[in-house]
Amino acid sequence: MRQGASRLVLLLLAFTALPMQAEGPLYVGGSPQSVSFPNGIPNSVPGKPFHWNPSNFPLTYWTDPTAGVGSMTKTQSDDLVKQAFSVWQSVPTTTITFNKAGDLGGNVTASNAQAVINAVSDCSTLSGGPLTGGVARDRTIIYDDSQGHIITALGDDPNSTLGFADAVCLSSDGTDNYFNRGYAVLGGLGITSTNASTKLLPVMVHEFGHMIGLDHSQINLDCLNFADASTCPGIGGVPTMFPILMTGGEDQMISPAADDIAGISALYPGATFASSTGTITGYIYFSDTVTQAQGLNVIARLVSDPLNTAVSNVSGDLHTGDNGNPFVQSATPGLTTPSPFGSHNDNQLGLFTIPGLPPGNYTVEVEAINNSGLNPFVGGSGLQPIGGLGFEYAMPGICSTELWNSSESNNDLCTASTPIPVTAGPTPASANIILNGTGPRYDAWEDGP
Amino acid sequence: MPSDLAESRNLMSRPFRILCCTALLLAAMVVPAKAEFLVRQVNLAYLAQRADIIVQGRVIQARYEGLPNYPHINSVLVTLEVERMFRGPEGGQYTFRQFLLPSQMRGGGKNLYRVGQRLLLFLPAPSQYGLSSPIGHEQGRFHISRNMAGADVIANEFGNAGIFRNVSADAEKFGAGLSHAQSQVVAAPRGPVALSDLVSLVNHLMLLPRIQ
Repeated sequence: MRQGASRLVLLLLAFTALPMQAEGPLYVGGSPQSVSFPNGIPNSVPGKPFHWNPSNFPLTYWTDPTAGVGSMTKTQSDDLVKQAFSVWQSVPTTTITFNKAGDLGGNVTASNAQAVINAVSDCSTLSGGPLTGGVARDRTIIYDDSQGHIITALGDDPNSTLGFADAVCLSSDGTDNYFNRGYAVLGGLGITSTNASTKLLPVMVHEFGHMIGLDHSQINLDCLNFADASTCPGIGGVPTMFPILMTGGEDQMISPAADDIAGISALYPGATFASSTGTITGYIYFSDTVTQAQGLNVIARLVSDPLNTAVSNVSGDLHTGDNGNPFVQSATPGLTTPSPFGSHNDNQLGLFTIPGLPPGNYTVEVEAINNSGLNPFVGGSGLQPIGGLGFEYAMPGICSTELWNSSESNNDLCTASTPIPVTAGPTPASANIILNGTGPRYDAWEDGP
Repeated sequence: MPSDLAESRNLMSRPFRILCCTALLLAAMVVPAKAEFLVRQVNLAYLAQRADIIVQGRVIQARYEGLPNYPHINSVLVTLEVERMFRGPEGGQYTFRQFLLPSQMRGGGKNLYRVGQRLLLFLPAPSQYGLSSPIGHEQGRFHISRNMAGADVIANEFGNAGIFRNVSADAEKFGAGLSHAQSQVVAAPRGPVALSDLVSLVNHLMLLPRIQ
């Protein structure tokens, strides 16, 4: 009982002190570093996701002045960009809005793409106000031509690389962490006005999701096994920020799932978000019932609509992913803490928080991120906090998926489940899951009691 | 090898080029995939046809730094001690520079290349900026390791998932059907394969018409 009470206190303290985040944040503040990276790493607020400052909404963007993507016209391309941003803007429980501010100072081509990206990424110019004068602007949307010359110039194969995006110039005011600039490059090889809505729009929505601070997310993983994902019963719950654009999944990728809605709303909460939705929070523990397990995917599913109304969070996503792990030792000699991102608060190591839940009864389950399935989610397709480091953990213990139940223990049935009532408002429901049949930690270098 | 050259020229005839384009178009219709870099799923035949550089080697340097003259763009300069150059310049070492997104540096940027790794890379020729990324990103970057039996095995960063899909059919289209042993290798849906088996496949698939 004492242990249970202390856990509850720990959980409440952690919950009240932490930002809510479902769909993983792209960057989380961490310990100050003295590492010299080209783009600089700020002294950020540990454990807080980076995001765009809402006081600057609508978030403005700029596009090529005359060129379009592929063989599309500029007008057609601009319309599609607007449509892609509106997918995120239309989520009713978020405040984020977008507006095309104008055109870049010139078309971006293979000959100046490097200079343009360099200018956007030059954080030393932030103090001079918005980027003006040259080609680049604060949020630069670059259209590649029908031959893919820009992607080729950047060293990629335009046949297989469809586009990329990122948020750059991170900063902190001591209480919050912010993005300041961003860019996206939209591949044009083979893109026409007739195929753009299926070939390019899903790419845009997903990439713009990254640009506004969302990482990848995993729900209904079994849809990967369908030759045509549109026939998968759970396709409605697969997030736009799922790491893979599946065949037949194009429509799904342009329609935010419950997980995307929770993720964008947690990052940019609208006035009604907190009052109209509820939260489940808790810890994932190894079988020793003490050591917290990081890097596992936790999903809350509405009992009456489990495949579609499902929201996830990776345990420990606010904590650094490389706490002493020699797999990820830095290439920089003498650097003992390689990642500048993620907190070092051990109360967050196994913590999960799933916000944005419509009121109702939910099940809670924990599974591995897809580290051994058809397409491992590592490297560029990784889920925070581990995947970005180049690996993911397998599910430890004897359950491939383990559900929470009211008699949770280290020897309960993997599938035994108790619905958790979730009400709208600030008081979270709690669910700690103790994994069955595990060692006390993943590896010898993992912290433990 | 003269016989290989003759076969290669034969494969480059017009019908084969048409088939090649058709295969490329078909490839473009299936399963795009993932990430901050969003890439299509590709197979080993495509990698062998598209790559200008195919090199196996050990990483002896991985330097994370800004691009020359563009210091605010991340890159990694990688030097391999060449074990086998399938296609590309001769020499004991091969160096290339890869453009990196800031989000690829989240973990400190050291997860992509580390000194000591043994890799097989399928790369485009250096661009006008001197940059080249593995084709298909994780799909064109293979790691060589030693299994419990002491044999070298190899898998790309998708665990070889999908990398052999349609390889047999692609080879057949160009009149370069796989041997029985090679067919058995590509029948595996995923998982590491013997390095020698993959080397045999790559050498064979390099006979297919190049995709530019």
